[in-house]
Amino acid sequence: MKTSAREDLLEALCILSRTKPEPPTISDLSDHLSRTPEEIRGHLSTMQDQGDLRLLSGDRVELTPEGSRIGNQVAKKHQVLECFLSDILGMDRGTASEEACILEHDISDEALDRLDRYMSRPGKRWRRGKHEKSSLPTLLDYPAGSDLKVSSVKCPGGCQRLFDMGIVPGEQVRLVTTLDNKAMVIHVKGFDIAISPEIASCIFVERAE
Amino acid sequence: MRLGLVGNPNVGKSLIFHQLTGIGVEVSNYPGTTVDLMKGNLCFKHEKLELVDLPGIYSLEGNSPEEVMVRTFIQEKEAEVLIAVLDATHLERNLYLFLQLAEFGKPLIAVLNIMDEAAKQGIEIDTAKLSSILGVEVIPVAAVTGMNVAEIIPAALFRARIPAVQVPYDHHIEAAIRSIQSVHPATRLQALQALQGIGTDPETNSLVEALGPEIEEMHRMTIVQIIAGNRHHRAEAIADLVSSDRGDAHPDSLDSLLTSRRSGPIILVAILLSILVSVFLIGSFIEEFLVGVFEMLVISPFSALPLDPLFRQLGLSLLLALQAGLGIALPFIFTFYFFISILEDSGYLTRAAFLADRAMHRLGMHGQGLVPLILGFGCNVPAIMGIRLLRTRRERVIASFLVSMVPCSARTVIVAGIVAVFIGLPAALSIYAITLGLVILTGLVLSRITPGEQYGMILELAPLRVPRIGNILSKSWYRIREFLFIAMPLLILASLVLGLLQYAGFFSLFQQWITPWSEAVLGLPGYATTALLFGILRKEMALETLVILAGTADLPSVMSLAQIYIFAVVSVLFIPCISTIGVLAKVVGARITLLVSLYTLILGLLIGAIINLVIV
Ligand SMILES: Nc1nc2c(ncn2[C@@H]2O[C@H](COP(=O)(O)OP(=O)(O)OP(=O)(O)O)[C@@H](O)[C@H]2O)c(=O)[nH]1
Ligand SMILES: [Mg+2]
Repeated sequence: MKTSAREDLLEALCILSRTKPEPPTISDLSDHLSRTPEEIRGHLSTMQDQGDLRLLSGDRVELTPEGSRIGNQVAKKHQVLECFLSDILGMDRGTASEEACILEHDISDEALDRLDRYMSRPGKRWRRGKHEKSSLPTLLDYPAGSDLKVSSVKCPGGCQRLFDMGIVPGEQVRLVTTLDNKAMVIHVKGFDIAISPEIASCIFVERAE
Repeated sequence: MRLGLVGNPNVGKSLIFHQLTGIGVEVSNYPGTTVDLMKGNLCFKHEKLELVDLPGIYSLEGNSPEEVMVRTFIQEKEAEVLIAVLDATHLERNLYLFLQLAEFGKPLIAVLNIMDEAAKQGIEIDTAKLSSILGVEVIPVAAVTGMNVAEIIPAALFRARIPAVQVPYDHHIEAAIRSIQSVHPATRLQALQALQGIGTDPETNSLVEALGPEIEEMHRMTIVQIIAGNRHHRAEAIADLVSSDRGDAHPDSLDSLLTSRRSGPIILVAILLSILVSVFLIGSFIEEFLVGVFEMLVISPFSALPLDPLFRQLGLSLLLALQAGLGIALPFIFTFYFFISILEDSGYLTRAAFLADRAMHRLGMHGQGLVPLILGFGCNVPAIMGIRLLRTRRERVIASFLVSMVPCSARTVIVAGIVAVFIGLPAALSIYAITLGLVILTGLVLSRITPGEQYGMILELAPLRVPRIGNILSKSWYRIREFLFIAMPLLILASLVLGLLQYAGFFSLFQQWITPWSEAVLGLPGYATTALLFGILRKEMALETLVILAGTADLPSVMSLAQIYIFAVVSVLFIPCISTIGVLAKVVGARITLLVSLYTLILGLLIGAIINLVIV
C-alpha cells in the first residue's frame, strides 16, 4: 500500500471524526474519498495491522493515538497548502484543494512550517495596526470604475457591519468613486456604501472576470 | 397587545409608524434616523394596541448599541407580533435581515415597502411566491402614498405566523449546531448565537470555544463570516426566484457629480454656505416685518395706556417676551429647519458625510461624524442622541464636545436676530467663522489626547430623492411646535417672574454685584451678563432676557455695537443649554458632560474677554 493512500485515509478519518461525536463508518469514508468500500476495506485492514486504527463493530473505524497524530498532521498540511494556493496565488478553491491533495504527501515539515508562518502574517499585520504593504491587492489598489470580486475581508475589531452589508468573499463589487484620500463609494447588492480608506484597506479583492 | 416594527435602516419604519399612530416621529432619508424605541397607541376595532418603532439595524447578531437594543427587545418577548419592514427596491439585502429574524421564531408579517419606487425602476416582485417561500403573509405597501397601509394592522393581528424559511448553513456549521445540541439542550438560535460569540449560556459558550477554532481554521474565515455568507447566499437565491428584474440601478449622473472628487467638495461648501446666508436673509426679512408690526400694533398702544406701574412692568415684560419669541425666534428657527429638512430628505446628508471623511479624520472622527455636526445646527439635543451611532467611545467623546459647540438654531436666533440685523451680515458670518475655527481647533487637540481606538466609516448612501414639500413642512412644524408649546410658555412665565423681580428691585442688587466683573472682563453691562446666565436654560432666553432687562427690542439704543457682538459670541460659545446637558449625561456619562460644560464655559468667557481687549 502506498503512503499517500494511507495518509489520505488517516486525514479523512480525522476530518470525519471532528464533525460527529461517534466514530465514522466505512461508507462515510467511501463517500468522502469517492472510492469503493471494498477498496477502502482492504486498505483499512492493512492499516489495522500497522497500528494506525481499530476496526469496530458496525463498520465503524477508530483511530489510534498514533494514527490520529499523523492524520491531523496531513490535514493541517492540506489546509495550509490549499489556503496558500487559493488566497495568495489566487487559484480557484476547488482546484486548490485537489492540488493540495497531491502536494500534501511530499512536502517536508520544514517547508510547511515556513509556509504556515508566512501565511499567518497578513492577519498579524492588523493586530499591530500598521499599514504595511501587503502582497495581496485591496480596494485601495484599483481605480474608480473597476468591477471587482471580494477575496477576503480582514479587519481589526471585527467587521460584522461589512459582512451584514454583503461584503463577503465571492461577492461582486463595483468601485464607484474615490476621493483624494482614497475614501470611496462601492456598489454592493444594489447599495452604494461609503467607506474610509482604512476600511478599504482590509477588503482584499481581485478583478472580476 | 404590542406590535414592533423591525427592519433595515431607512426602509420607512418610522413613516409607517407615523401613518398608523399619527404621532410625529422623525422621518428622514438617511440611515439611523431613529435611535431609540418609540411607542405609540392606536385603536383597532375598539381594541387598544401599542406599536413600537425600533431603530433600523443591519443585523440581529451585531453588538452595536441599536442592534443589541432590538435583539433584546425581540428576545425578551416585549412584542407579541413583529412587523418586518422590507425595502422592495433592495429586496436581497433586506431578506438577509429577515432570514435572521425568522430564526427567532416569533409570529410576524412582512411589509414590502417602497413599492412605488420599485415600480418606477421596473422591479416586479411576486409577493404570493415570496409569501410562500417565507411562510408569512407579505403585504406590498407604499407608505408615502398610503397604499395598503391600512392592511398592516389587521394582518398582524389575525394572520401573523412563525416563518417557515430556514437558512441551510455550511455543513461544518450544521455539524457544530448538532454537536452543541447533542451535548446540551439548546435551540438552533441559541447554538447559532453561541457560535457567533453572543451566546448567553456559559455551557454552550464553552462548547463553542472547543469547536469554533477548528472550523475557522478549516475555512480560513471567522464563523461570523461563514454564517453571513450562507445567509447572503440564501437571500440572493430567494430574491432571484421572486423578482423579475433586479434592475441594477444605472449610474446616476447627478449622483456622480455630487460625489466626485472635483465638484463634490465645492458643491458641499456652496450648499452649506448658501443655507446659512438664506436663513439670515429670509429670517431677518420676516423678523423685521413681524417686529415692526408688533411694535406698531401692540407695544406702542400698550405703552400709551395709563396703568399702574406694577401692571405696566408685568405687561411690558409679557409683551416683550412674545415679541422676541414670535418675532425673532420663530422666523429663524422655522427657516433653518426648513432647509435642514431639505438636506435630510434629499439624501444629500450621507453624501456630505462621505465627502467630509478626510477632514473629519483630522478631527479624530470619520465621515459619519459629520451627520450629528450638521444636525446640531438645528438642535443639539437630537444631534447628541445621534452620536450613539458612532462606533467607538473615543469618537463619541470627541463628537460630544464638537456637537455641543455647534451653533444650534436657538443660537442662530441670537446671531441673526441681533448681530445680522444691527451690525450686518459679515459680522454675523464672522461669528460662525470663529465658532467653526474653535470647533476645528478643539477637534485637532482632542484627536491627539483622547484615548481609544478609531474605526473608519461604513455608511450606506441614502437614495437621492426629490424632497416632498408636505413632509418638509410638517417636519419643520413638529420642531416649531416644540418651540411654541414648550419653550414659549416657559419664556412667558420666566418673563413675568423677571418683570416682578425687576419691579421689586432684585436685579439692581444682583447687577450691582455682577457689573464690575462683567464690565472688567467682557465689557458688558451687568444686565447683559445676567441675560447670558439665563441662556443656560434655553439659548433663546439669553436674547429674551436681554430684551426684557434692557426694556427694549431696539438694542443699539442701549448697547454699543461692540457690546452686542461680544454678547452674541459669548452666548454662542458659553455652556450648552440644560436639555443638551441632560442628553449628554445620558449618552456619554456625567464626567464627560462636566468636562464639556466647563470647557465651553471657559472658552466662552476667554474668547469674549479677548474680543473685548481687541475691539475696545
Ligand atoms: N418613495 C417612497 N419613499 C418612502 C416610502 N416609505 C418611506 N419612504 C422614505 O424613506 C425615508 C426613510 O423613512 P423612515 O421612515 O425615516 O425610515 P426608517 O426605517 O424609520 O429609518 P431609520 O429610523 O433610519 O431606521 C424617508 O425619506 C421616507 O420619506 C415609500 O413607500 N416610498
Ligand atoms: Mg426611523
